[in-house]
Amino acid sequence: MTYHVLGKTGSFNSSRPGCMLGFALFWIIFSAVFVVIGLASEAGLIFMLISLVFVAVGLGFLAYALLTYYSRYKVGRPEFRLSQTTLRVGDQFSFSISHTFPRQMEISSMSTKLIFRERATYQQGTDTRTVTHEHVVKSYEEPGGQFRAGQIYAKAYELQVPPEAMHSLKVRRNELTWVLKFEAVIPKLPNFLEEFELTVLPEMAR
Amino acid sequence: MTKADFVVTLQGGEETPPTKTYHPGEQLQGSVTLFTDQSVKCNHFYIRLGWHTEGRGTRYAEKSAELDVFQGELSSSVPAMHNFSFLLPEQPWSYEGHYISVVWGLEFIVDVPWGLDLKHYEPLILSPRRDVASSW
Repeated sequence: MTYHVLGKTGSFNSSRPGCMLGFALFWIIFSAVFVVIGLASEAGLIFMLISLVFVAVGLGFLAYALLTYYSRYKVGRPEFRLSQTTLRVGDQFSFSISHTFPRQMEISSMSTKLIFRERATYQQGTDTRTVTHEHVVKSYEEPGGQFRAGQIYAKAYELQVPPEAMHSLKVRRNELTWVLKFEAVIPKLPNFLEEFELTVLPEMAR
Repeated sequence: MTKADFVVTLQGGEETPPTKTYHPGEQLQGSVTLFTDQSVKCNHFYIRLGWHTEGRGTRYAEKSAELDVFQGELSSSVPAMHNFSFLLPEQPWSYEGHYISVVWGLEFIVDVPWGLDLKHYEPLILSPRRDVASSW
């Protein structure tokens, strides 16, 4: 995915299904080992069934990851422009999307959200848990529809980090982050999702 | 066990009960008076300015500045009074959120040899000057 910041083109990897794909493959291979052990050692039916359930779960993850890739393939590569990614509290910035649809497709709706996200990680016994809370500061909802191959879609938004807001903060197991999230809802497929992290400095805009 | 009362007076700042609000880069001045019910040997009397996180995430704490204002014998008959002054840092700002809070404060610690330390915590708010109410 490309985006432009202050006239420069960069790339930003976010919301990619690659992690899930890797995890699914690891899960399937790991579970398949037990299926092979079950077959080789003439283990009981219960052992085999449990192993097969694990393999099925892995296949479910794999299918979802592949569908996510497919929805990204269908949408193509929209171009996102951010006027800046390092901001002060109270700063205004612009965000735009321009896209030529490579193939005909249907989109239910599209949204662009400025989000302040709290992400806290803690230990509970031997488990490490993470909780996330999203505060949607600004949300733009756009209607979807049928898009033809070659049809151009373009939108521009003016956004602001509220002057009464908190800056970004990342310390051990506690994160306060600002993100710009673009989401397109595609019928019967995983949503097309792209996130851009903004760095909000502990300074007030003049 | 020694009982202690810390009376802390902070100068300046804005009254935002139950605590005071200061701006980044400001000088924080104040005094602490310590009353004890018996004489106490004190290895160190620390006054620390720092912040920590509260909430669901694992606690993270950072010490911003520290003063060691006294070593010796604290008498029960004569209260010990000490002035302090700290330059407040630019960040992080105080914050109270859903899962995470950032809390600034002054920690007063009397390091007692072979005994429980005497402690007191005085919270404060570090927030920049804003033209709008911070009820975000």
